[in-house]
Amino acid sequence: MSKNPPSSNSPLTSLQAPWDHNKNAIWLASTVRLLRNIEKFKFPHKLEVEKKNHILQLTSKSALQAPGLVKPYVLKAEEMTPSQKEFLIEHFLLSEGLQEASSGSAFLLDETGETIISFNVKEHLQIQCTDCKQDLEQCWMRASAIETTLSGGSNFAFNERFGFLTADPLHAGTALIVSAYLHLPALIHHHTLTDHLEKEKLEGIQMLGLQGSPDELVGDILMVQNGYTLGVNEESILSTIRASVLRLVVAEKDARSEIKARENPRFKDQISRSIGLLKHSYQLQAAEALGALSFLKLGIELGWIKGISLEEVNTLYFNSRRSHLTYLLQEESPSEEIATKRAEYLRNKTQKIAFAV
Amino acid sequence: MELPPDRPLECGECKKPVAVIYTEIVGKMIYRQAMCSDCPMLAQKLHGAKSYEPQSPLALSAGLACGNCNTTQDEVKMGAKLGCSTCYEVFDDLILQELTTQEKLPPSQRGKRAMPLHLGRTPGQVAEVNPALKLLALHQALNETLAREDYEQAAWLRDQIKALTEEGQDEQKSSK
Repeated sequence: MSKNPPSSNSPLTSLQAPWDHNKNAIWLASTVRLLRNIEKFKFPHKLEVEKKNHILQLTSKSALQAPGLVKPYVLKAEEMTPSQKEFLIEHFLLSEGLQEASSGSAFLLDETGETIISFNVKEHLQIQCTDCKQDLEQCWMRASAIETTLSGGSNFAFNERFGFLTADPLHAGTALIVSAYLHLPALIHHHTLTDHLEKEKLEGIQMLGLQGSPDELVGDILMVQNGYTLGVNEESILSTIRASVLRLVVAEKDARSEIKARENPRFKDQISRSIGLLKHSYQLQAAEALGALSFLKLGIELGWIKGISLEEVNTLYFNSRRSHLTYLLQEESPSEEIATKRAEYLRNKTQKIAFAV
Repeated sequence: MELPPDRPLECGECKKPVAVIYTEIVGKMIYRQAMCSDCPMLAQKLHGAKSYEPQSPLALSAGLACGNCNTTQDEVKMGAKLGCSTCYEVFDDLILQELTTQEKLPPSQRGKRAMPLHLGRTPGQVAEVNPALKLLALHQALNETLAREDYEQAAWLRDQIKALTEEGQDEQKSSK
């Protein structure tokens, strides 16, 4: 391993929390996003760089004073490498690409690792808070407390008909996007998820995979998101998500109990194969690795696997993705070597695991 | 999240699912673009570049555009982003139509003209959530599991309700 890593002085490497102690079995995490634009300015993609900088100056100053932030700092997009931007996407589960973010765009981070404010990316302001305590309401309060602080310095673009105005018209209104991340291997591989998704469709809920499409659930993670931002209020968005999540969690728990009671041979097979994959692969692509880790996690929950904790597997989920892996190994690897490095990392971490049924 | 190579999930121009991968080879460069099945860009590429045809001043004036940021009606129709707050006034009907077809509005609100669609907070309004929301969801789920005679999960839900209720009572006591 190189002694002079390219990224050792990056403030990002210190971002571990809140993921390093995540013990959640099914409802892994949630995020709350609030989008805001400043009145009288064009939206970022039509805005000149000087005006973007003006907005940045105006808003970042009050954002640094916002409640709940621990030692906040601002990173300018133009000073960041592509792999640092990717790290942010992975760490904060951001939905949008940041690679186009350049001059005039910036990010405010803090030591809790739970909050990110993006300036001039898709919207003038995006406040996003992460929650790992299954407390959507508290998470929303945190985001809106920051929003309230920011509204002190400047007026937000708002009209009575469309609410808070956003560059993407499909996000106007409350401009609030709540996402819950659920790990549902039993439902997915038991082929009962589709029935549940059909039921939920009716209630203003969107079900997505980590990459957008519900047809491809990488790592068996389903993202539950509000389908409406306009025509509903914040409270009903939160309660719809909560109700929907709870139903899916109950269904997943049921499916797991059934698998365990019957010692389902198909699941036994898939879990032990996943151990083989993690312990013996020489090259692993991200999707394949996450799929295997998903079964590993299920195996722990069912009491079929010994030698690793849920917490450790949750950490592996994060660390096996490209830019996290790069930071962890403290060396930039050419993209064709990533799969090899990933396999090596996972091999080391899973040596003590044993299948015990 | 790392994307699998060459598999974009939505069109580069709008947000519809990808149906066509359009590859164009110009000189030594290969350009690849993902498009939906009814993409106007695709029609343009396949059936000749319409935008290069000289447009009469009349045709130009027929296309609505935002006076503040020059975003045109065609751009909005293609799913482009809005450029500024004024766009919301200029393209009001179009936005409503888009929200309705994309099912981004609750059924009760679809097609409402000249009425406030927004039901949430207004700027500066203090954020408050009813702490009973969590309990409500738990009770609802509990009833559903009981109706299914799923006692294992019912017990799990009941424990959570109990924990939350006790937590609430403790807080009340300490605040007194």
